[in-house]
Amino acid sequence: MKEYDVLEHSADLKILVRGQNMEELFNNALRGMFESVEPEAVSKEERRRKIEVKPSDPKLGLIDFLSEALFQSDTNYEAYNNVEFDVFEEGHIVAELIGYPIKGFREEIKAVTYHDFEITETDQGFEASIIFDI
Amino acid sequence: MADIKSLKKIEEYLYEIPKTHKSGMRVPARVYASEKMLQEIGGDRSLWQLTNVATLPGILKYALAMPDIHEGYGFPIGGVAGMDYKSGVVSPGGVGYDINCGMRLLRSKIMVNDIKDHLRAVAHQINRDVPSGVGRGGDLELTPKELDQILNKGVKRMVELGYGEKEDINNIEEYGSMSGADASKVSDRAKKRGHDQVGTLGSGNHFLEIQRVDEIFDEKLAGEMGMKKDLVMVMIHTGSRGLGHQVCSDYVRRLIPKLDEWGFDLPDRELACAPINSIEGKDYLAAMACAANFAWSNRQMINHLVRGAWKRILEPVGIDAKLDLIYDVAHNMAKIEEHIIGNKKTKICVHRKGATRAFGPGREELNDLYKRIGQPVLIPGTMGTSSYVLVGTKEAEKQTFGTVCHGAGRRMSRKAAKKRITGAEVRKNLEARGIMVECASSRGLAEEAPLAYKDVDDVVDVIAKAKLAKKVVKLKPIAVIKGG
Repeated sequence: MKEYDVLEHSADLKILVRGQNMEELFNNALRGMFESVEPEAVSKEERRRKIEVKPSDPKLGLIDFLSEALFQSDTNYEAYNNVEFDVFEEGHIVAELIGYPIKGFREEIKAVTYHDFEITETDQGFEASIIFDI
Repeated sequence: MADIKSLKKIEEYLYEIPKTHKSGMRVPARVYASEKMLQEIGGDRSLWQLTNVATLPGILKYALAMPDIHEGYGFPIGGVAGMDYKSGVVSPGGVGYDINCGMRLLRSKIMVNDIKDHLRAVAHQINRDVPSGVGRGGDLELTPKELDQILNKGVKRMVELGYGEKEDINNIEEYGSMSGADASKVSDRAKKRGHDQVGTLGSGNHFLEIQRVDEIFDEKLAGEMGMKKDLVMVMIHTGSRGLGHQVCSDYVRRLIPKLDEWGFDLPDRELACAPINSIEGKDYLAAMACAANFAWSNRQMINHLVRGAWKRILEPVGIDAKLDLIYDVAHNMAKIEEHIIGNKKTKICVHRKGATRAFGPGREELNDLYKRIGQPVLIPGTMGTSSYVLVGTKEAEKQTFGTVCHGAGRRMSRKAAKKRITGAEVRKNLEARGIMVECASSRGLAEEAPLAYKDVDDVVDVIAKAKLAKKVVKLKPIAVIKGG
């Protein structure tokens, strides 16, 4: 199963993410978000950031999780390609983002939008399309 | 789903989707476009998004779309909505994440022939001095107290700090300082994102261009603004960077759980909104005003850095290196304004998302010159194409809450653009036409290639023919400086 695809969108960035379970869906969305804008690594040094997310609506946990990762990236000059979850509940996520220091991105993500967002169940697990303002 | 078949022609360049089109629409949706543009407009979901805007509580007259309309999130880009101040809502998504993304235009003292031999050096110096800020901060790092002063006072504070001239303030929408700004309504997270981003350009379609006046449509108005054929100009396009993005994210997130309580059944979560007079609505407007002040300060700092680069290269060779600000105008904003609604002066909240304020002569908000001739409207083209200076009209105030388009408008995704053309080809095409390019990323060039956008000449023609603004001059780039 392909982790994610970049879809056509006239103004912004849209990705379709897949995962066998919700944790994998979140992890693939994280990877898809950062890989799509092509981070320029400073080094391979591993960076870890502890995060806690309490979504405003349990159905929107993925968007709030990605927004938190974007905030960490923007303020620490890092990109993330993996996540380890300590708590993964509807309405509460505690996790460690794993990534590396960066010089910049080819394209800047301004925000993760809620537009048209929905997680759907598929034969192979879950999928979600996410639109980023760039 | 609304498509172009739902549109009824009202008059030349104006089409309408009646409010009976779908349940929940409180007003009709209106689109300014030529027949030629309609096919493209129908090619994405922007009309559906426009009819969603028409469902928002308190919306007055029409949900409006400018000719550069294209699909966004929540509101379409090029969308305009005026909400009743007493009963209406304010929607952070109706402003967008890049609060007060906007345009600034500077006028030099020199003609294109004077700069010819120094253009590469000037463009290179500007590229060195104005950081893109993508992945790294600018040269100005602000303490929390210093940042709060900029959020509360905008360009007035920047000028106090020495980053500009007093006269600059006179030539900025809202004089570079929105009333009602309250830095305590901006989260620490937003401030953390913004503390080192004043004076950074960003990526995407943000750019700096050195331009020449290519064509004059109205000699008198051009003269009033100090422009003549072949005069060299500088155009700056950027916004509120990470600070503004975080303000929007914070408030959309805060409003979503409140929607049920307010009884709002919205067709799209990105339309999340609050009654203007609720605590949440007032807090958003105060935070948005801070982000707007931050964006004006960002453009002010870039203006300051460009002036420095200009002087550094041109003064030693005996060229007058002064750059004067013609105007700075926002194209992502919600503003409390007075407009005539049904023969009555009414206080409303005008959302302009990818749309530019275009007040005609006589508005109290304008400085003496622009109160006399109308507010300058700055419409950028795409790389290598024309940009325009227009002035707003009374007709725009009657029809569109004093609003026009904001640019050419995308017609092709970045992915599709990259399939059609490479960055190297874009660079070659531009340089073959005498346009110098300073951009680190070839892919960035391909994504912003002119073929990815509608024809700005067509877009501006619709605006002019609908009498929403008057064309003053056309500008052509001679050097493009892009962040990423």
